[in-house]
Amino acid sequence: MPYAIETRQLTKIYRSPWGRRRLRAVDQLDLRVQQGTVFGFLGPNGAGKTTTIMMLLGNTRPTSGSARLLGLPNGSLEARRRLGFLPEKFQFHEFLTAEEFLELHGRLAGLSPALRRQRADAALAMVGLEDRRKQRLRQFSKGMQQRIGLAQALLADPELVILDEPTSALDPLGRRQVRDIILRLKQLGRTVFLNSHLLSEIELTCDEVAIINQGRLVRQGSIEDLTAPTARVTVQLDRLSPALLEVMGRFGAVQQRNHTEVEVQMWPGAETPDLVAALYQVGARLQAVIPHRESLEDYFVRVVRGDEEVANGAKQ
Amino acid sequence: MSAIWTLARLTVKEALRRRTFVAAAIITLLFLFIWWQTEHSPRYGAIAGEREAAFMQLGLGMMRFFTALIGIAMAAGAISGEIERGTHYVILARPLTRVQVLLGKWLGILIPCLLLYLFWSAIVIATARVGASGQLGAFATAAAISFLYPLVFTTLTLCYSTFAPPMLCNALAMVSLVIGWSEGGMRGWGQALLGNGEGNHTVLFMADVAGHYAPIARIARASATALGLERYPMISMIMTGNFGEGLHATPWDVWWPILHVALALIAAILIFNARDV
Ligand SMILES: Nc1ncnc2c1ncn2[C@@H]1O[C@H](COP(=O)(O)OP(=O)(O)OP(=O)(O)O)[C@@H](O)[C@H]1O
Ligand SMILES: [Mg+2]
Repeated sequence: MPYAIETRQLTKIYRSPWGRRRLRAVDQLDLRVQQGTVFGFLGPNGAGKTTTIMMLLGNTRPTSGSARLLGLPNGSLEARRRLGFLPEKFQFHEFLTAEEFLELHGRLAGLSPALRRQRADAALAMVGLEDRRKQRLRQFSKGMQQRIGLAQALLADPELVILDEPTSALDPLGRRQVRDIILRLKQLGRTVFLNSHLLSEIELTCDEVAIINQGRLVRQGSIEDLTAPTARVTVQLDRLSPALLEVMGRFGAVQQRNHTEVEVQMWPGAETPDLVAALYQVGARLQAVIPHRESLEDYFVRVVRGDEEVANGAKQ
Repeated sequence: MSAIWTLARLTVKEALRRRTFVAAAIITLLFLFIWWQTEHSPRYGAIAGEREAAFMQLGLGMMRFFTALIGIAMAAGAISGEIERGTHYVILARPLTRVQVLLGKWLGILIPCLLLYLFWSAIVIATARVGASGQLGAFATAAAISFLYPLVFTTLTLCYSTFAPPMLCNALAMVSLVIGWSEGGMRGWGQALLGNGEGNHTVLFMADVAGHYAPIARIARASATALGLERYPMISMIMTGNFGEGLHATPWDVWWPILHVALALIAAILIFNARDV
């Protein structure tokens, strides 16, 4: 089975009008997205996420490198027939009603009249806009516009859905709806390529993530593999003593919360069971040992900062 | 083909939303005012049918010019403007070629222009008593030729809009109109200089370039010839002054504007295909 998305050394260089300044918006990007997965595409502002998506769609021409969607050349009509897209800058023909807007996109997607109506109804229901179908998009709130944009992306039942910040304007209910929609798409075997700054959402939906910074791929992998499982451990004891603190200090950086609780930020390679054994040996009475998986947000900050330090080091 | 038609209908719908038809109504009033003026002008009327001919000529001139202005206004924001607004992103993600998008826009702009043009033709036919003077056939031919004018400028503006934002597009379209209008003046000036023995081929060459870039004079001449205006010395004289050349048109005066439209469309397609959106 071909990858849902595969890029090879994908690069986009923007030049200023007279060619004096060059900006590597995307730099030799190699991405592989398996079909049937939910893939999170992360990076700080200006990292090149939207530029990458525009190249995948064939809207922007790569400076070098190539991309394939579902085994087809990016931008080909066949590839676009099989994908759905919600842009970051969602601006639609505001003089249309919700219904007319979906009708237009159904036609452009080549759906039959019966299918158009059926899919439009389903899509409106999915994004919770059934009772707004006759209203003009101009009168829609920002979040409602994003919802109708999502309905548009899902309209033709695409195999691959590319969403550029689909929840940026949504209320908490809307965000949860989008999360449910994404999980439902995954159940149906669709591929979702998702770009979002809301890392807690990414954590709940994505099988795999890639982090890019300044156009370059910094990390790619499953969330479990990337985030260290026991980076931080909360230890609760009957009573703390300097000896116990000294033992824990061998496993990580110790921070005392109160007279019965400490947090240990584990050194690389240190393992929680060894810490428990060592404490037991010196006679500590343990109440609880709670390992904390690193959040994706912590990981993201750590990786992007680290990458920037490396980049700065290289410059000097 | 059906995608082109879908996009054309979208463009027509957008045109209806804009104030295009307020402008059209105002221009219609202007038509009636000029008719009233011509009806009472002592300048025409020496020869039978001259007054009607003058009105048809004026009416056609206004029809083609104002239709062109409306076409330009609609075409100026068609491609770059929509990309800037962001409305093109979802459209271009659909399985459409950019040629289809461009042709959809083109048809969607020209169809309302044509309807408006036909409406104004009906007004001119009624008020200039074209039917009564047995000129309907000649008028229809002249009107068909005159429609090349809005066709040329709308297509040229659509071509500009593939690379220029709306304001710049409007400005470029106006500059193109001025270039077209300047042809007759340049030709007259160049010929005058030649007559003095100074031989100014440069000015005449520039007039030729202007006439090819914006073939306004050619279209007007072909239209006037179709109306048989050579019969009326007063009208002939005014028009010859404007064109700097005799009134009699050649087939190239019609073929070149048609070719011009085709070339502008091809250029628009090439530029639109090459650019990032
Ligand atoms: N059309 C353009 N011309 C020149 N530079 C551009 C253009 N589009 C984007 N850039 C630059 O390319 C870089 C990447 O931009 P991009 O929009 O891809 O970032 P992003 O990762 O989507 O950011 P955000 O999270 O803010 O949406 C930025 O430095 C931006 O300034
Ligand atoms: Mg972006």
